[in-house]
Amino acid sequence: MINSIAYYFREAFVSFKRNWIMSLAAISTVAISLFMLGFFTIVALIFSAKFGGLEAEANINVYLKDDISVAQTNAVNRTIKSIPEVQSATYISKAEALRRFKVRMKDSPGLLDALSGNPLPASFEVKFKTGDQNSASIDKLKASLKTNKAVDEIIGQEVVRRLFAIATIARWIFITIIALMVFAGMTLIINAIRLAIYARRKEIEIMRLVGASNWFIRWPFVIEGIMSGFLGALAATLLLLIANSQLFQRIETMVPFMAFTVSTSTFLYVVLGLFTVGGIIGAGGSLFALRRFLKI
Amino acid sequence: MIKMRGVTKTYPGGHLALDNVNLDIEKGEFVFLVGPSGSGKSTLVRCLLKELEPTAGTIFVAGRDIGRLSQSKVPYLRRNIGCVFQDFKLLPNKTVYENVSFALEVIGKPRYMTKNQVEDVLKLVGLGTKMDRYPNEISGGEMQRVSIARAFVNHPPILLADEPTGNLDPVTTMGLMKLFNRINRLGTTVVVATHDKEMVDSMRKRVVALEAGRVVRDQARGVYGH
Repeated sequence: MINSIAYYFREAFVSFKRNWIMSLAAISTVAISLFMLGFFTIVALIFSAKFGGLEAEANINVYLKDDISVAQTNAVNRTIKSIPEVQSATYISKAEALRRFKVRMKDSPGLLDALSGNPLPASFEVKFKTGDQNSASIDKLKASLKTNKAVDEIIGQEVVRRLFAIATIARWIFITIIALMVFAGMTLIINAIRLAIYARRKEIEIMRLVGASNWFIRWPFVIEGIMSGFLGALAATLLLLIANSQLFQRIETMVPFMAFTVSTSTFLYVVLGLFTVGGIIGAGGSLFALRRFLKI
Repeated sequence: MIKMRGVTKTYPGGHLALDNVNLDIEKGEFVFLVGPSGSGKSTLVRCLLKELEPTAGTIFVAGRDIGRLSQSKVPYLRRNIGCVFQDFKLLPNKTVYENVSFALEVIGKPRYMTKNQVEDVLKLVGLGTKMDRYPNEISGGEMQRVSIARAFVNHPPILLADEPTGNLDPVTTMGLMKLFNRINRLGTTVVVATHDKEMVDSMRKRVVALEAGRVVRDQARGVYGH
């Protein structure tokens, strides 16, 4: 057993060295595919973080009439919170509204002097749960408050609606692009591995002839595939690091108000993902490509 | 050792390669399988190796019905049948020694344990001094000796050769026949498929003649033709 394992690894390394042109072809294919995958994943993460932030910020304000009782206010609160899609409803009193307004307007003090009393209404700030940030939820909220006499106006619907729609579309576009890239990458990688194995079909034929079991033939190829996958992922990581410093960070310097980088931990997760995908595709691709050489 | 009952093989497309073949080969026999190209010799050999499944009939090797052998057990069948082919099937990037030790390695025997075994078999085939050569550095006859050494290194009960001398001159051929004879005398059942008349006639061994997929003659101490 130990001997066999030593054999598998030795064979994998030897054949890796001996067929280095084929190995190089497979590795560069893996590297380019994984780089594209990682690149788009990072772009998708950046945008997703952006939209996620906006979505979390996006809230709907339910403005209340001025002359309502505490009981009426509580009733509105209960109605809003009874909707399952609602994450939170924060009560903003008239005083709080004024305070916030003053903070926002602190650069133009003259404007505040003109205010007499407090013209701002009290309101509820409604946030929806993740996954329920869509038009249907807004419609539900509207419907449940339609007949409520304490409610003056519901503000922020159209903007929020549009934002939700754009976020959904953007998300699907990214998912589609990434899925296509995974598929294209896998096809390319499997082809590259198949070429490498095709170059060694005679060896496989002889192994079968002298009675090597199928797994005995497979293991070195699988190990070699994983090695190619990891080396490809390593190269892809280097390319991503370059892209990160040359592209993303530069964009961020040029457009300062737009965060266009990912955190180090996110980057590490992406890299980890690339190594996992690389290893799996390397092993899976080898097994897949070997299939037709191991028949009979 | 080998028993074939009603073995028929029809290739996709309808070509009948073996037609109701019945054949018994005892342990320790030396059998020539003769017949013109296309008579079904190679098909028969490939059926014995379970490279092909017969359309009908059963084949027993060492008492085992190989038709009922699962695909995953085929390697174990092949460890019992050493094979020699016309095109030698040597790996060009391995030395003579490595080509032979490879056969033991892939059935799970570690290198350090097989050194004597490999050297002995290479001496047996007369290549004791050329173990470190590469296949392109030796002659065709020597390459076939390497391939015989590889087939025999594991001391299988059966040695199958499919046109082993097809590419070789008569003198080299005679040398190889003597080698097959020596291996046969060690107790191995030897089956040689060939259309080399001179070789068959000079050996005076059992001859099974195939024609259009049928056994037309089975003769002890026979000759190639009438």
